[in-house]
Amino acid sequence: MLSVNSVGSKLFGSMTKAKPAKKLCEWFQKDPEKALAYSTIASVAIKDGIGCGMYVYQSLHNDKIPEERRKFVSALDLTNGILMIVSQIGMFFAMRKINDKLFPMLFSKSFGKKANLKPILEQARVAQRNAGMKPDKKFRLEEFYKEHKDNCFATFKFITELAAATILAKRVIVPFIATPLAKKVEKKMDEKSAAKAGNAQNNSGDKFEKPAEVSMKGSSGVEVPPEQASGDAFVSTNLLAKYRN
Amino acid sequence: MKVENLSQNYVGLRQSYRKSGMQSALYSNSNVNPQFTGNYVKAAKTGSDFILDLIPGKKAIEKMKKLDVLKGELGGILITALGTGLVAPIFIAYNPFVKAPKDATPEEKQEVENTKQYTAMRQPISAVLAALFQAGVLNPIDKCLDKWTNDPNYSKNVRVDLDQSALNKESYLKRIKAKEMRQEVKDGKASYSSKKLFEEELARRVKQAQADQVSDLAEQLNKTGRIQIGQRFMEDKTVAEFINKQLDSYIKSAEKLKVDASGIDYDELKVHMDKLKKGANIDIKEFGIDQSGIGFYTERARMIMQNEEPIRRLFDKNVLPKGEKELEAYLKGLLNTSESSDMKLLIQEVLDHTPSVRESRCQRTIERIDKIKRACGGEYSPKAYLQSMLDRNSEVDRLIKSLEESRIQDASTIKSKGIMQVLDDIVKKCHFDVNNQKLSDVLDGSGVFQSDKKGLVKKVSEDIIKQYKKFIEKNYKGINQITKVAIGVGITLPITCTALNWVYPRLMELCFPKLAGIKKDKPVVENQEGGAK
Repeated sequence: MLSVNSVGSKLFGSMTKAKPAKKLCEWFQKDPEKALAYSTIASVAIKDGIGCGMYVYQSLHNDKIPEERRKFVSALDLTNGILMIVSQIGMFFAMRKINDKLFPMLFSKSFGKKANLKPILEQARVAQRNAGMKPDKKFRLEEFYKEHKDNCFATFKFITELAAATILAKRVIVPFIATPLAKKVEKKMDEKSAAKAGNAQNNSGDKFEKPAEVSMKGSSGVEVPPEQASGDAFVSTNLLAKYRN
Repeated sequence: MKVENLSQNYVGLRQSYRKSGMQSALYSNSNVNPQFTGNYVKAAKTGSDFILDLIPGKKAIEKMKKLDVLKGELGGILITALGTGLVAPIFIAYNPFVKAPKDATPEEKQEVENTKQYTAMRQPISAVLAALFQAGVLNPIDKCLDKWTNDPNYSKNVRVDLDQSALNKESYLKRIKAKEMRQEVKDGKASYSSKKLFEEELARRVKQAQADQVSDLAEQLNKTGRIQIGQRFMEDKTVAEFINKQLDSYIKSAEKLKVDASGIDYDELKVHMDKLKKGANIDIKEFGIDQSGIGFYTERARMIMQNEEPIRRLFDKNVLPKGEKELEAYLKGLLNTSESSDMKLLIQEVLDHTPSVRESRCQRTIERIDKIKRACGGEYSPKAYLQSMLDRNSEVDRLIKSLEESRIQDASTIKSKGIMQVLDDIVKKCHFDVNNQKLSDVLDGSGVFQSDKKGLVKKVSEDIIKQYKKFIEKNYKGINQITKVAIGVGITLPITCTALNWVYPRLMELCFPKLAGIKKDKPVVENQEGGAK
């Protein structure tokens, strides 16, 4: 009788036999730590990319946004999304470089310059002897020491690189770049659309009402739509909602 | 369930323990329940454990070890959630670039502040939901994949190099063994007085099962030249690659047996010398410092052998005081009274070591006298010692060369019979005669070369199986990660977003009516945002 596990394992099994899965395994064979870190940051970027894509799609297909403004709104969403993804990937790689120096600094006693390996090896041999064991040769013990160092460094690297990308870049740096950048783009585009609207008004009368000042989703979802500033009580968390008002 | 004492049937455990020949590697456990008289075994402390105990900042290293679980998709989700939940709200609520116009009224300014706070509150809610949905689904994925790659009923469906049914993953074994133990408790066959005892026994059984599986596969590899997983076999070509990798590792270790400058810490030697320089005016050049290292060891041997008598007398185990402080005082006294600059340096070197190893250093100096004599074939002479070091290096070179010759040149054409021959060949090359004291001094304890041939047969094949283990673990890691990413992006991310859009406005109205109340005059828009931004 077919069970969930039976069907699931067959589907999963055929997935593992596909060429991309084999390539993926080869990648993990070469350097599993690196592959894991890269695939995780890729996952973060993909998720943000999908989020950004959905914002842009909604903006482009929202009837409530005047057609002339849709491109502008979606361009702002797209800029924010790209900025977020690029900054995270950039910070991830920057941290990767810094980590080679940062780790021995933070773990100086254990693995840095202050760490004196010789007495550690000596003590280990004495301890082994006292435990009734034949002591390992020093180079063997050195290998164990290196193993601890490598494992500790791998975990440290993974966490700090991801934290730098998803906390520092995405939550601290991007909001500070995005908001002023949005204002600049906004100003330029407003000038252009105002000029266009002026021409259109001259030609065929007032066809569309200029929407309220657009504010970009500055700090990771923060927008203060101008309607608040002008007394409108409704608070929205994205551009789309603002235009629905 | 109240568990009173430990009374376990260890027959199976004893049998597998004997079968795996692990007696030498295992200690008897001091925490054993007195009612139990069998071989209640505990995995021995390895060299790696001894080293970890001695590294300064052990606690930090152990904490990092615990954080190891974050490596992968779980870390990605939790660290992102941490940023979203704790950092983002601060930067949203206090973003200086988002402010009311200069000419805004106080009410308008207040509204902008409220909006910032209202939006900031979205982030922790988003983080909690992400942790709940996205991280929550990871454990079931792990369980599922564990079952599909470890249970022989299902693992036959996956690629052979992902099939872990012959060498189970630790997490899978833990689940199986825990279930087995709970059943034993239920049936009244065993009882554990605490959770800790249960966990300890579980860890033992898992370690035992892992050792047995490696041992079984190694035995099979020796007999057939193949690695069998269920009804299938690993490709001969892949097995050949494992052998080559293991040979590389042996060669790397053997290289370190040679006498060279790598074992000399010139900086450390200079520290000892500097300490003595004031009183004794010793020239560092006297100590045979050269790039090859041979000069250093030759000079060191001269220094030790010329002072054999005082070393044996002053460093005698029965003469050395027992306490660390007393020993330090004794050595300092020797340093002050000794007239020989050689002895001064040797004593200073011992004193520069950690107090706990000073006694051992003294013993090792005496042991070195015997080793030097053996290397010289009885009586020490500088020439004979120099020759012994050169002989040692050429002997290690010969061993390395012979191991290199065992490498399988064309892995794609080799068959199981050829693999068996290569294994046999490696065993012969890694074996040395225990009666050859000279060689024994060099090779014993290296972890590569052994005098026990039977043990070596087992060790070599087990080392190859460990290569196989590493191989399937890496494959599994890749597939596991990509499965989690795919499910995260395709299923749990949209669920999280939908949940957020439903929960956020309602929770805000419920918990922060003041902030949410200002929106009561207009309905909240159910936005379809993507990404738990």
